[in-house]
Amino acid sequence: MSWIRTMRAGAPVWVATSLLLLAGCGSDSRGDLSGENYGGGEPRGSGVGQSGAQDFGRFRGIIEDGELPAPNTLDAVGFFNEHKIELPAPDCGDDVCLHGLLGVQGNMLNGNNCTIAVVGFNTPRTPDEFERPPLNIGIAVDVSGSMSGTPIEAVRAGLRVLATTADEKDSIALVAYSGESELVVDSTPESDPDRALLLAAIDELQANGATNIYAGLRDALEIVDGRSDASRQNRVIMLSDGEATAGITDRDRIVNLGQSYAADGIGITTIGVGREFDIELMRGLSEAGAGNFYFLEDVAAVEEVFSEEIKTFLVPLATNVTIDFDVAQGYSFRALYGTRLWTGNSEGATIQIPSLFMASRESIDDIAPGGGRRGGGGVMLVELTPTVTESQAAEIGPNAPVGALSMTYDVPNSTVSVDQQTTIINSLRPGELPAEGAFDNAAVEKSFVALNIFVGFQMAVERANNGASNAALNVLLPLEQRVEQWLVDNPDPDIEDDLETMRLLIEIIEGTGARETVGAPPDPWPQGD
Amino acid sequence: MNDWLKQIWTDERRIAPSRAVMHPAWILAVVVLLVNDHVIKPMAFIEPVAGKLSDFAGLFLFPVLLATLLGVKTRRGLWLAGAATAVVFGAINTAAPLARAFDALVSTVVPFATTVDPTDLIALIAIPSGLWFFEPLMRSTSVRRTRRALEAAAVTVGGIASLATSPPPCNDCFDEPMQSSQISILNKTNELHILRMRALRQGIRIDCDRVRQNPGEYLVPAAFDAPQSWFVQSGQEIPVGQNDASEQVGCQVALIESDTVPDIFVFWDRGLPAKSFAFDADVPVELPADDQTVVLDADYSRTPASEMHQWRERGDCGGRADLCDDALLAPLAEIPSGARYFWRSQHETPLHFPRPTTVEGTLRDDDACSAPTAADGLAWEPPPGGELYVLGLDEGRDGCHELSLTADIEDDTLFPRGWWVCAPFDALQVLVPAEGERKRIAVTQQNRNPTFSGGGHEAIEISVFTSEGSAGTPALDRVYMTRGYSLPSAVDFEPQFLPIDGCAPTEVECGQVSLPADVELTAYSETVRPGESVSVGTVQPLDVFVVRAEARPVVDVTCLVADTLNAPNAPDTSTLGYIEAVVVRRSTGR
Repeated sequence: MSWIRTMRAGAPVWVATSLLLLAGCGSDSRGDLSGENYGGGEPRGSGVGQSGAQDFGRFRGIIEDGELPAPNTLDAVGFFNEHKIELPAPDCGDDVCLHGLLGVQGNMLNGNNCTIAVVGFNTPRTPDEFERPPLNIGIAVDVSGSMSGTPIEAVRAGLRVLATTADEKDSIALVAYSGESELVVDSTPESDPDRALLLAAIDELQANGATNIYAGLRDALEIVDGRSDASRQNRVIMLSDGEATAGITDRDRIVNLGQSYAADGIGITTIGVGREFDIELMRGLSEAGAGNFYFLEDVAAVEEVFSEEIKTFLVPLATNVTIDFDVAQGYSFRALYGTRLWTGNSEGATIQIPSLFMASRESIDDIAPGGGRRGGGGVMLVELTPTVTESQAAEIGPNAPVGALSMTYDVPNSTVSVDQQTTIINSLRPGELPAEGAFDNAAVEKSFVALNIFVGFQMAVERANNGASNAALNVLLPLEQRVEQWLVDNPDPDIEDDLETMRLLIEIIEGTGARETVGAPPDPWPQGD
Repeated sequence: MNDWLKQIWTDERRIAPSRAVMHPAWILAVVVLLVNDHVIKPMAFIEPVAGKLSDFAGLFLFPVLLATLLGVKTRRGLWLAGAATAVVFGAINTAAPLARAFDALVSTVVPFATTVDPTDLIALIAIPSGLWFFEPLMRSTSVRRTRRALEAAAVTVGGIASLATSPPPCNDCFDEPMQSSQISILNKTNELHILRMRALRQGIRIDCDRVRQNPGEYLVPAAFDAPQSWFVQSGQEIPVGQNDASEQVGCQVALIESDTVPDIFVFWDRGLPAKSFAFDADVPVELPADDQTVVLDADYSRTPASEMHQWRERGDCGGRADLCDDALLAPLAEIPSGARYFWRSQHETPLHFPRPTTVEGTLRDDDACSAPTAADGLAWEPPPGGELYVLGLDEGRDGCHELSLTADIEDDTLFPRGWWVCAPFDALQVLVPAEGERKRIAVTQQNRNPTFSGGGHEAIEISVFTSEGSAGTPALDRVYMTRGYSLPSAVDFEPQFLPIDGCAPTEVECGQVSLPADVELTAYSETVRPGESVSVGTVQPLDVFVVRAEARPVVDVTCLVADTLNAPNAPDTSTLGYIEAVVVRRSTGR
């Protein structure tokens, strides 16, 4: 059953409009959206997030410090990974289930038409029952001079958590790098069964010197590669708080180093410490190495990443994930949000995700003690443009497909490949836009709101950084009002947190003397001349 | 009604409309018109009321005035004069083109400007009211000569009052000086729009011929300065870029951003003559668009009449820019439903180009334009000092290789060090000693700045000596590693960049864009594709390994340089390029 949601001022009205075929993954994944099963407290497994940034802590941290962030600090993958989206039950029979849902609504800035398809994944498995294979990991730790003080203390604390929670079969090589790189300790089941050597080495890490990221990464990769084993999870964890200042410093060359080992099955997870690290480098390495990318903005974040995320972030559920979206008659593909790894044209898009990981957050209210919301299992949003005339739309009619989704992925540590397909149906005619909007379910509506907030943040910081602060307020102030209105009827901790961040950003921009000017709010998705 | 019309149409009794002009009501209407137009109207805050009052007074007296001037002698003629007045007044208050035509006609006698406002049609009621009121006074056709003279005077004053309703339109009347620019933007919509105008950053140089073909494809926001905001009222004209007489060669671009109309690039030749115009928002005449004007226009065919703004509407601040704060301007900026805005260039060669609506991600590119990227680029660690023996070369899987060096060949455990170089493995073979051979290298940094202002490239020279070599001994071979916009002078050729047709440009740092390109070695008439090598020359042969090459239709000559004020000039009309190459100069011929 799909739902149309009334979003006009006043009490929301939910209206059932059409009955859809019930089916699992492989046909229409909306089949499980009956009122009884959706949001009814039944176990629904866990969310699944794509590799890449798991949060947008750096962007938020800069705003919380009262400064204006640069546009590139807002990471789309990280942003959507901080928004827990409740998808239909993962009963496709595989470890990863693909879902496609539809929403039609006027955007929250100026009300123009916005037709989006939400693409997300979940898994029937849960973090508690998830058994990971033994680890073969190398940890490359930045011990340059800038890490002295709180950063190195925080990293030591995190590594101790890692060392004490490691399984007895795990091998952990600790590489420290500053101007040069050095293997500090190689803790294997044979050489260091109780991790005493590893813990001692962690305690002795001292910060001093330059930052030779290339050397540290290469040493860690070579060690892991040297004992790479298909039955293990072979991965390097890269920690850094700054930009490369020694050795090969070219960012693209360092990413290429990671990529060349990733091709041989060595994954890379990156952790940026503080606010000065090279975000493009860390993001690029995680994308190249089919791994996650975290920000450690404070001590609470260290605890979350190394204790909560460690359960899931090292072992992918799926690798070499390819998703094709083919647009149906009456629509054209326009853009995709929530990943950088897509190519497309008007007829559709292809998304290639190196790996998918289990999300650690199990529900919308599952928020870490430090307030962190990472590990939500982000979705991707496909924007579509209706392309037909009114008479053609009438001919196509309601309940026609807007597009077909297909996914293939490899099951890690096996030769098994999985295929899935699903079709996304619009209960309205192409181009039809009820004033109230129409969403397949509440998850789509939340995704829609999150997308508007993301695009609003993006437009505002770009404008403010370009010296157009008044224009930035013209984006944020109407958006703030509409998000506030939405939250009255739809309390949601993720969106509430976004709203707080938005208000801080407004204060920062207003602090520069900017003010809202006359004129209509901008169209976040302009259609061109 | 029919009877009344029939009676008027057939009534042949003579009347004299001039008899009415001496009546106190007609004279009062003339006084109201004069005082209202010339005393009350300029007080901007009551302009809307004053406008209507003039309309009522004017229509009350004008049919009588017209009938008098035309020498009308029947009731039929009198009411036809009233009907003609109503038709003309109705037309010029509902159709802007007719209003402009009317203004032009009247302005041949006296400067005149009409404000198109359909709500003024309410004043039409004054026409029948006036005729009913004055018609009985016109029965007396015989009067004294003195009275005739007084009537003539009253008609003259009434005529002047009817025509001289607005301030004379003349550019000299404005406080603002005349503007001079090569290009202007004219807002021909009925709404106020805020345009954010961004000029190209200092240091950006563009290949005009190539970029002109599709500015939206080659220009990215990072190439432009911070925006300057303009509140552009309906009918207002603003300058784009300043007239810089010192630069007559090349082209200029501005990026126009807005929240209410599509973003565009405006592209023009620097050699265009400057134009002058008044850009004061209060200019009371319609500005003609010329060939150097980019016009913002609108289609209101789907806009309900109730939501329409009026052309050149100035709202409650009465057209006085100094009185218009945001609160007063806001109603003028409200976008009516159904309005569609578009740009047009007056000249047949368009001056404006749409800015593509881009989003994160890469659009599918089906052609084969793949070329080595920065991930495959030439890179090296800071070079070691002094002369060092080469022990070997380890090939890395990522294209970066480690040269093992030592200061003491007899005991290679003393002062050993590795030196990482990301370059074609084959290009480095010249550094590796053969079996039983000894080679020493000395590395010198030639230039550290791969920008125009820094010499155009970053390069090192590796001199290769035999084991017996020493200071002063000519090197056996020399290897140049270079990256930037030019090559070291020791390399005897200049690169010519040949963009590969059909490939889409990509954005690189500092707002620059690049195109995959082949490189022509000018002195040797050889063309090399990036990723390949060529051997040229015979006496002093060169092995040229082109690692990367890109044509750069848009370059920033100050990119990554703090000292932007001292940015040097660079050619502005040809495609510049970026090259990374290893050149091996051998001491012996082939």
